[in-house]
Amino acid sequence: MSRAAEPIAVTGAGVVTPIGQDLDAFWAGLVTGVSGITEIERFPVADLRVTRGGEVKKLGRLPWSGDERRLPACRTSRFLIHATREALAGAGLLAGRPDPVRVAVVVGTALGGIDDAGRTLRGQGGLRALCGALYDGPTWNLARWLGATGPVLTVSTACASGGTALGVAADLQRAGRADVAVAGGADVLCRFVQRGFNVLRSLTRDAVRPFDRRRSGILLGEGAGVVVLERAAAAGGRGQRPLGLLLGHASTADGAHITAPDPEGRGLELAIRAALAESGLGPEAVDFVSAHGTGTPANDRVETDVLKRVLGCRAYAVPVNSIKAHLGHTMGAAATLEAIMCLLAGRHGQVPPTLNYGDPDPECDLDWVPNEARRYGPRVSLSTSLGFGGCNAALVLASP
Amino acid sequence: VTTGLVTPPAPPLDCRAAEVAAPRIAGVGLLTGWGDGLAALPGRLEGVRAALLTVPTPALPGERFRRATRECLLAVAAVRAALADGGLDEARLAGPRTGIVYASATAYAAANRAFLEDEGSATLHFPYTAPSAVPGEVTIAFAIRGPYVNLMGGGPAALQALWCAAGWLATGVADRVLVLTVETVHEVWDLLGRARRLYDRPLVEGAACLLLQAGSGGTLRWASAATAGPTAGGRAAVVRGVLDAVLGDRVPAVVAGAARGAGAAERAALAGRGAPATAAVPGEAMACGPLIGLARARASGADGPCLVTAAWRNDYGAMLWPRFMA
Repeated sequence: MSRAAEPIAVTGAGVVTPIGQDLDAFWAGLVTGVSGITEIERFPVADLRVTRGGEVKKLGRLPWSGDERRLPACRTSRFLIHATREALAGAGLLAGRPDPVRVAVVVGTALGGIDDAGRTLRGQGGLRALCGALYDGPTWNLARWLGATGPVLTVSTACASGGTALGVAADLQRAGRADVAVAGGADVLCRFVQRGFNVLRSLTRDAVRPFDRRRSGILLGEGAGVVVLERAAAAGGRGQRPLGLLLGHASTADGAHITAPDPEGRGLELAIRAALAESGLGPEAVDFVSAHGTGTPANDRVETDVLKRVLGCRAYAVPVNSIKAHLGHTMGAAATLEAIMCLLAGRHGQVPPTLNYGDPDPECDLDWVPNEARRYGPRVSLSTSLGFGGCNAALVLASP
Repeated sequence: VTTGLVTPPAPPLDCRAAEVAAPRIAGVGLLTGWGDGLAALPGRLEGVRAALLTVPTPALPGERFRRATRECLLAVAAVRAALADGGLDEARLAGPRTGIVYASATAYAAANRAFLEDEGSATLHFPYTAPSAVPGEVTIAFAIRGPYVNLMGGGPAALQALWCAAGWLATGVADRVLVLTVETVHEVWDLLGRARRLYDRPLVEGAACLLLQAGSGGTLRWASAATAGPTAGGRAAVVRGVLDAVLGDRVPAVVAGAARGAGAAERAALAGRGAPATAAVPGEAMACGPLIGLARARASGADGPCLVTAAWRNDYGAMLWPRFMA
């Protein structure tokens, strides 16, 4: 077994999702099987084949700010700020302010400032919107809101971005570049991406049914997931009980197809094995898997095959879930939200279900925790993600 | 308004450098608005009148590239040029032992704009709006399945990419790593031309690739910091803090500077550290800048150490590359 990398403590987490805008609401929605999929209302969809998605209907006001005009107009940035505020509060860092130059900001996104890009092309928003329209726009908006002046990085490995961002942030901390890292992922549901997946015919008119024989595609969602990462010793020194530990991470390429996963899943398998190696654990240590589980025929079959190869004979005994049917595919936010779900499962001793499951597929025959939450407290979780361009990410997380 | 952590940093900054075993540059591939290769780069910026130097689209044979965007073609061509420079057969890249780190500030804007403005866009155009399509085409073209990260931003993101690649080589998760940068702005020039706060020199399109392998000896040092606001005093403190962190008591032999608006602050921070040669990047090449600077410093015959600096938005980064000879 290889030498383990230093574990990094997750001391706080925050979310904005279609089923809840704080951890408590998010968790309650997950375990009770709430779906955030609705008719899209925020932009025109009448001409599109699929008109539903996981939309955040109304972003709650920020209770700590009396002046919302100071917040960026960019919706992605607002999601990030909202989630970050909760994460900082959970980490006990709202009052005790670390040196700004020792604070890193790492954001994963599949779409960047695409909302501002649309406004810019319509001649609205001026220079600020133009700068915000770049992919790193939301990250810089968050850094400015935080006053953070340490490393500011934007990761875009498509729908694996939120996982890669956590790994990059952990590496920064291990290298001594930051004491505190605010890391996560965010993306918004907008006409640009809804139309894109619509023309690709990747969207289903049915429900999202991960790993079910009837699965026929994804529905998109939007949201943000943010965690506060600290070196474990520093967190302990503040008397902060971490939500969990990030033990290992890896991101790899498929080198196979621009939109579809490698049919053999070789890149994903390498990512999982490399993340386990970094964590110093073998596959036998994994007792829960949060799968990417998009509900497309190709993704779910490939993930099943890879999990069988990695977990071996234990594959049928390890619970695996997908929360895409709750939220839709939240793109850059998905992997971070799923990592947070893993840690909450450990804390609460309960695993959220895979919704809309009813017709088993012989090619996808693992324990998917169908339809109802299960009393089960995972200690070591594996979270997997895949994205356009052949991106794969794997995270190994531990609950205290 | 109460924000999360705000208070502007007061000098001296508690900025610390990350260290990793330095890799060896085994090959360089470069296509820029100046032309192909290092030889095409002008020595000085003076006399350059164009505000944008556009890079021609390379013609790559094969049906596979029929739908690929200009930035994808540039990326593949830059990788091929780096392999040719390093004398490495293309087939050696295939499999899990080759890593790729990609950085760009702009090489998605054309595809995004086209899709936003044309509601009748072809089905197959949408995947190319993702920045990951550019390195994705490279991984497909060369069957690369190793470690993989994409960073969005200008020069400082490229420095982060170099550090990430060095880390993979140092820990043995890859035998070779491609650090790839692409910048294309011609198709959005009417928009980006308004954002002069992002650059103060002619914008240069380009694609750059460094083929890195383990083992030059020495230690790579990297640091970065951002100003909390646009004040000149804040920028000077950040530049000094970053350079102090990276250099310590070391004296650079070459400075490959690409830092927008940091020239005076850099000169002041480097005063008293000898009289290093310069390998400046003639123009704002964004993420390509640090790679061009390193390639230029390497070609100058100096064995290092080489200080590479970069700036983008409020961010300033620096890297000390210890030596070029293996």
